[in-house]
Amino acid sequence: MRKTILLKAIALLLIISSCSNDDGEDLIDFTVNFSSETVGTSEEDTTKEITLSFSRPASEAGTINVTYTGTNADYGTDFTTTPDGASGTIAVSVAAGDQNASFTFNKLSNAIEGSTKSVTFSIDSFDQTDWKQGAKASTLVSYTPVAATGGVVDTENGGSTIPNQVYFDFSSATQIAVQRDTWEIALYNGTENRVYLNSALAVSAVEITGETDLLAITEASDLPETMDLFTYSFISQQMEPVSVSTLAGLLEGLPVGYEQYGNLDEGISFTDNAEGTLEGTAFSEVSTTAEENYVYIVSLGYEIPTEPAETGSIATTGDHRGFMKVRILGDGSTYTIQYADLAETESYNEVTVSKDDAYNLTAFSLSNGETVSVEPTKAQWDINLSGVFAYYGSQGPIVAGLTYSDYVLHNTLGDVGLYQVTIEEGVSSYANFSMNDVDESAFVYDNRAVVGSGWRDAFGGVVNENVYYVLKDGDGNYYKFDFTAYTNTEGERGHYQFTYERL
Amino acid sequence: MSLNKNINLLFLTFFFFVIGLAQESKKQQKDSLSMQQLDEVILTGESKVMSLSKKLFSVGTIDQKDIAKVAGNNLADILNYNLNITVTPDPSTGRSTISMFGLDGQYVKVLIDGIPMASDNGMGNNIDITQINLEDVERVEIVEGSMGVLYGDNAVAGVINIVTKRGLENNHKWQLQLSVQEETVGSEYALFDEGRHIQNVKLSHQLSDKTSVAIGGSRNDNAGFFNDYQGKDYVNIQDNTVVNDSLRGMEWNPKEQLTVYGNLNTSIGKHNIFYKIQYYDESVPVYNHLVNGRLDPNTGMPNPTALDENFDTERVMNNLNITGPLKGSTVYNLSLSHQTQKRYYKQYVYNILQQGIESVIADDLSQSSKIWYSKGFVSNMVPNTDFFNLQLGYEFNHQTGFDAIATGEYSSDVVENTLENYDFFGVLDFNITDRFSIFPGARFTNNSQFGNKLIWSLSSTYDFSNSFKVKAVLGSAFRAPNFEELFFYFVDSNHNVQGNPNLDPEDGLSVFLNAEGKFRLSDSSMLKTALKSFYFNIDGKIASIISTDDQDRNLFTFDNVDRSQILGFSLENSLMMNRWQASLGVTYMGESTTIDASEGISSDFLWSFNLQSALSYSIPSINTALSAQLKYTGRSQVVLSGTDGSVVGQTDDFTWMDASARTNITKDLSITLGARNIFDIVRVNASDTPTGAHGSGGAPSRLFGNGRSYYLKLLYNLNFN
Repeated sequence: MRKTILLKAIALLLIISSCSNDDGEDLIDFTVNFSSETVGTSEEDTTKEITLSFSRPASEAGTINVTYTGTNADYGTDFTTTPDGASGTIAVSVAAGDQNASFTFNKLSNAIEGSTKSVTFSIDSFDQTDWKQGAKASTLVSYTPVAATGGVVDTENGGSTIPNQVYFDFSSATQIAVQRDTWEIALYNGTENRVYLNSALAVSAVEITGETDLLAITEASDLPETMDLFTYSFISQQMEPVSVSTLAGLLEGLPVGYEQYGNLDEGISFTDNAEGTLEGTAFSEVSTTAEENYVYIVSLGYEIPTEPAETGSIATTGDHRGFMKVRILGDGSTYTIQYADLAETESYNEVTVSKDDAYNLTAFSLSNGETVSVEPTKAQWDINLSGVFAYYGSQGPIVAGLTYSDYVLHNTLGDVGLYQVTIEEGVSSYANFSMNDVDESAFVYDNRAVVGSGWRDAFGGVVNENVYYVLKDGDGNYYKFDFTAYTNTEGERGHYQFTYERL
Repeated sequence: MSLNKNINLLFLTFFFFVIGLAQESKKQQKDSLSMQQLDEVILTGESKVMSLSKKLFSVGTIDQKDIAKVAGNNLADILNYNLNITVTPDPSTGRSTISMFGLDGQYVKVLIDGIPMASDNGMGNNIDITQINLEDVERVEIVEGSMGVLYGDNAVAGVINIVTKRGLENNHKWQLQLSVQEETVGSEYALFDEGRHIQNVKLSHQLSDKTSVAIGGSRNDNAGFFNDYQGKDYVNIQDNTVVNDSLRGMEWNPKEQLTVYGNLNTSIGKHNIFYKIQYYDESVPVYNHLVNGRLDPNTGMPNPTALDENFDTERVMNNLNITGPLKGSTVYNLSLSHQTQKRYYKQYVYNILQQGIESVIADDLSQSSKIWYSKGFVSNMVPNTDFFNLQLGYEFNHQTGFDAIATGEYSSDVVENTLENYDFFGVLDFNITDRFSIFPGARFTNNSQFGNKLIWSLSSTYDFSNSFKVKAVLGSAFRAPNFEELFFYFVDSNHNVQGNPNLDPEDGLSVFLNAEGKFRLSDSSMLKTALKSFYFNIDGKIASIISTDDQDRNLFTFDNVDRSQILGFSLENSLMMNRWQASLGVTYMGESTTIDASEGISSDFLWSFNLQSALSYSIPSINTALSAQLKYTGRSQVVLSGTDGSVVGQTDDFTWMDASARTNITKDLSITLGARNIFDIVRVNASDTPTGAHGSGGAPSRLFGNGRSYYLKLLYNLNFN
């Protein structure tokens, strides 16, 4: 008998020890939030969808009861809702598996100048006992437009080849994505006559000082005067001087790369400076005297690779897109762009572009010979998630053409100020940062590259959790924003996410 | 998981089966075994596979008793105590490989009943020794030295042969063995999700005088080693933001292994046939330490995910061995084997809060190989003379397969490769006097990858007396380039790394000088002493080099440029005295490396010292055996080629110790209680590892163990007719 018991004990042990807890039943709480704390409506809007978001898909069906209070707005005369809310409660039904639910706000009247008019909707109760209210349990629907108070933005930069640059406007919560290889140069619409390069495509340009005849210069030409430059040498791992007297020699050091030529002491850089100041462009200021505007050789940057990179890596620079020669004239209100292939000696193209005050810059495609819509109007964007960004500058002991990824700029030409907060002892965390913490003197208006790529640690594979940013837009709205991801969940780079909140 | 349910069902079936049998077996209790009988059976059951190598090389044996002392479930549990072998675990992949005489697993060949074992990385070498289950193993033989003539490619540092148990240990018709083993992993243990849980079942049956069969299964569920990591469901969320503290995941990822086997041993006339089939399945998840802290755009709440991986390996082995007399005392030995191995790779997004897989990125068969193998030899071909004898044999190997991971993600060339070799070998015996013999041997290899190759060996023995013998062995062997070295491909705008299909094998040469003495100290005590010196020279060692391709770009590839020399001395003693058994071995070994032999600058010999000791004591009155093993692994140094020329990196010394007590509670039931890694070794400082490999930074180190662990093993052994 004793043996039988022992055997049973052993067999039981065999059974017990061979199973393990593999079932992940512990789901997170089901909480309901309004997707936004405020909803603005314009005069044209007659209906508005109000969305309630869930922390996870609903595991069973149920109903959310929403109540409302109006400020100078009454149910039936100023607004109605669908489903009907005449009783004072709107019953929003949820089906199992839903990620969110919504109801419709029907606007029956408009705001009267000088008085506020709004309706506040609040989550009142649920018919499921385990459902909970989240932090955003109410939302204010205004009869006038309101600046967005916050949100989470998944940028549309497009993945590991970072095909797009993204412009984002905080107050209207809009992002605009533009493929970064659609343009090479951009014309400044302000008082000065300036030409910017597309740094997101690593475009670079060199002035052939003294040469005004576009057709006279080809790859075989000698330079009017010898240029004394420097280049980084991989062999000696030092900067070494290089003298260039032919255009062919110069072209070797024109494209952005570690071996790009330059001479910062003499102010010679074939790229715009990182800061994006008017004085820092590779092109000299366009003179209204035609003879003072010389020919430029433009390196058109690098193709966007067609194949995505290995997971966790990026591939942003493909084949070199070649060279063109360009001469830009201006009369103060228009620019005249003369351009041709480098080998061309017979004729060139000429396009005249008028300044448009609504925009900082007007982008132009040398490849297609036409202006391209890239930037939104200057009041309609605050940051540019440029993705790729290249400039000639120093990195440790070397000075070279550097290409960054995951780069972020802010709209200094449109009077947007920004500064970085580094979390340390005595500094508020992102969550606790409030209007009282804003340091007005810290806003930077003369350097677009404050954010740069410092928000992430590409080697560690993580977002830099020690920093966040404070921004003041052209209309005086204050925002804080913090990056939360630079890869998608599947590990592919070039999918950024940030969260922001109005202060 | 359905796998778990199936296993539970399996054991449940056994449960009722066993209860039924137990009632029966009461009647059989009187048939107890005498020790004498047991000894006889072991002697006659011994296979002759290795008999020749014993003559030519020095062979060490780990038998069942040694395995039982440390409650070894797989080869990694027992090889630690070999003087010249170090087990090196790789916590990220869960693989444990060995190094022998300082040469890594690629230079050691692992055989099962004399047949090379298919592995992730080829055939026979670089085996993950945790995958070799010890449940149906009779003994493990360790052969030192370059054994190319007898065992072919990659047998440079030595050969490890796993000998399967054949037949039953007694006169019963049936034998059922059931065991469970519960083990802590360091201080971590929980009934399900922490620690190590092992279950074994084996049923053997003697069908007739000449035929026996056995089937069995073993499951090893190792929940991994957390070591301050917080597991797969950990995430640090502060103020609605994920903070990446790199504490997610495990130090040592979990591993679940299942081995199912069956074998048949039969004799037809004087011919013995042994067939073995084995199925192996292993699943290793790899949990990412980094968490992606994306917010849910709808709610603004973190929705943390991690990019995890899973490796699943499946292997089926069919081995057949036939031996018998050919004519007179001339005998033949023929082996046939078919093995398949598949490795599945899965990469997926794990949602940490919802504790489930959100999406699957890749779920592919990433590696596959099919192997046909045959080896045969005829020995004692000239039985009529004492002076001269001859053994002749062949070996054939046909291997097809691909390895998508070794060739790199960017290879457009993940095609099936076929490797084939035909080998012929022969060994001559010259018994010049009664005491002095010489054995020259040679092997010719024709390999489809690198052509023809000739290797040779020369051994001689001189017996001063029956108890004092001297042996000198010169042997050669080569290591074939591995898949990655041949076919790796990663080329894009920033990288240009390519394997070199024109690589030659590395040439290894070894010299062993052994003196062995046996001294009878009294009627009940004996001392065995062996003094050994050894030298290895490996030419054309494969190393990564930088050259230029046809477009003048830097090309990172491999070439046969390095050279390595190893010189060492060891002294091994074992003493048997009444109830005591003790052993003590020391080895002093140096390695000199020449990086880029064309420049001809060799490093100094870098010396290391190892010590191994074991002690056991039996108390027959209470059926108990106590044992302890200790191994000191001295500081080891290697020459690494850094950016500023070569530098010396080292791994610090550490001491490993186990102790156990084994007692028979009844005739059929025994309990083993033990502790592993008593000195609590986890990480050992190592400047020869790539820095930053460990997320938390700090001094670079290498993981050798998971801290002091305790185990309890219950073994039930039922014999009946």
